[in-house]
Amino acid sequence: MSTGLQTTLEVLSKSRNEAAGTVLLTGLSSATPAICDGVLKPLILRRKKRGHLEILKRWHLFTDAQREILQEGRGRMSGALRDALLSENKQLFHNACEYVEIFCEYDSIPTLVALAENRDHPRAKGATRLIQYLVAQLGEFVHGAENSKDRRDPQAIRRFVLESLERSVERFRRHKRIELVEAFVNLGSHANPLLNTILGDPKHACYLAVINTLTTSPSLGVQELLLTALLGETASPNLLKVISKRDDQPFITRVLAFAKGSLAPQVAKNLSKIRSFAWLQPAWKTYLELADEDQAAAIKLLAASGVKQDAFLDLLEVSLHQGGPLSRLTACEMLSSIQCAQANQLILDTVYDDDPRVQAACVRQLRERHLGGSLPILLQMIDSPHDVVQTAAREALSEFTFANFIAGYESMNDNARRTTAVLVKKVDLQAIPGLLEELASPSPSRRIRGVEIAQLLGAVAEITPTLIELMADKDHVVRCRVAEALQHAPLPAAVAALETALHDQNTTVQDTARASLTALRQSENHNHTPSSPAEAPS
Amino acid sequence: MLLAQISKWRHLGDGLHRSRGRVELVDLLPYILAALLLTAILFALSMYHKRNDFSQPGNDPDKLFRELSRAHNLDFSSRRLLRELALAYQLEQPAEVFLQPAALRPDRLPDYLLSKQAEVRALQQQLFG
Repeated sequence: MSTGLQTTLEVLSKSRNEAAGTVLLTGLSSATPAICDGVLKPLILRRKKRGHLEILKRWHLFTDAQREILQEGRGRMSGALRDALLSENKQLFHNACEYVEIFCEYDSIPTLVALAENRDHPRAKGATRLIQYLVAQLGEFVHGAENSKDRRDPQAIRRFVLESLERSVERFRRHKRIELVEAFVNLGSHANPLLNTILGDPKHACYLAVINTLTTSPSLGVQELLLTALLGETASPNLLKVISKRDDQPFITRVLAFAKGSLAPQVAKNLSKIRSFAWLQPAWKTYLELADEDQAAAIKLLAASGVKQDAFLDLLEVSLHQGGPLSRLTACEMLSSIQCAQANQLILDTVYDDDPRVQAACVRQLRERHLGGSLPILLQMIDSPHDVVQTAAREALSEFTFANFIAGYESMNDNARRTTAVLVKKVDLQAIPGLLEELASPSPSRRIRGVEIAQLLGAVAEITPTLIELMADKDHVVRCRVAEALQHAPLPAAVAALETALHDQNTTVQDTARASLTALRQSENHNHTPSSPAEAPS
Repeated sequence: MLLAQISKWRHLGDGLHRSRGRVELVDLLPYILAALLLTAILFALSMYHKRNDFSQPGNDPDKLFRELSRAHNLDFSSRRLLRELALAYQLEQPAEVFLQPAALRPDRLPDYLLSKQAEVRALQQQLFG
């Protein structure tokens, strides 16, 4: 653009002389593109309805580049847009609609509502469609990601539009335009007084339209309304009913997001009032289509809800049989709070799950449920190659500790001692250190008991060096018991210690050492007649 | 002795006498003329200022023409030529000529302006490059 023309346009744009508007309008018809394009911005900025109307009259003739220039006029042409929308001129109405649609002129909604309410008006349908579009766009503007290009305040626009729609809803009996009720619901919030009035009165003219919109609308606004209701202090029972009826995937995903972390107390309180969820039926189809993570969240959500235990157990069963690892694990964890035969059976069925974490979750519950046959399973699980399962099994058998064994040792009969010792050896990783502590006790009776327990635990070979040291104990009873125990340690050091004990000052010790040596040699001879060379001791 | 000198003091109080205080209109004429002149100058200055104050809102096509002419630093003859062109092309406002390059085409000038082809060409160059 030449500097001369630029100067002219700048003067015409800034001049406070109204004659400038008329001059600029002549530029619209110019055959010179630079002038035609150049006058657009000043005409928009001058905020004169006449100039804006002229622009709208020619809108359909403008190129994309020219329309881009007119974006500056967003929010400045309300008066002209109103006149154009109400105009009898079809082309002008069409142009205004297109402008409103492209630049999301929410200020035009009250005018469009007035048109839409008049069912006999030839523009009513077009206006209604445009309202629906604008409300959907506004919903995304309010609830979607922030748009750096649009500096308008979405909440302020929402309040303005909502006010217009509220008035229209109040006039519903007159116009019967359901789309306007839907638009109102799309932008409303769960705390909106009018919405609550409608929801609280099933005989209200808009009741069905509102419920239908809340149940079926895919709009972000409606989803947000329902989700914020869940977060509210006291959610309307009707809104909770709607939440339970919605089975569309995007909404379910958003609801489940609540349960992915720890469930907020308010959400849990509101969920507890929901007795069923449509997405659980039929035959768990929707549920099984969810991702593993969402299935796990769904289980948590249902656990907090007011769904009956039978239905919840059915869901857990489906999850344990058909769900992913995370949902199976969550299902297992949720079973821990349910005590019934079905839950017990589910635990027994799942204890050999492929996932060690699921196995561990089951193992932890076996003892608590007092299930018959759980002890062998737990002992088997202690030998699991997975640490998490081993740990869980040990936790489940946590009463079988060396300390407990020592504490109850004197009150047990021989049979009980033998059985318990086997369990303690398997369960308590601190059994051997505990035993060594016992053998180092200053009390001879505790040392004697320690030697006995070493035999019961089958740990003689493991602690042979300590036992050999005890062969020098000042108490001959201790020495005697050690000599007896060493027959279970087929090691050269043990044999040497026993041979030394043959010269012990106490004859009982000598005799016991002799007997142990005999037993060791017999055992050695027995082992020296192997069926194959591989069995020979190294 | 006083009576002997009466010729010196007999008109001493004449200036203070009531009949002597009347001012004649002719005496004030110079002042009136000066005041009128001053008013006229102030009025003229005010009019000049108003005429060239483009910051005031209004609807004045001539003023807009002047505003544009001043922005383009046009001299008196150029302004007059532009006005003549606006008149020749029957433009609604003289300022429209600033957005009408066709009005400044030297080959389409009315006969009575053919002599000013060079000036028109220069103006066209200045206003539209």
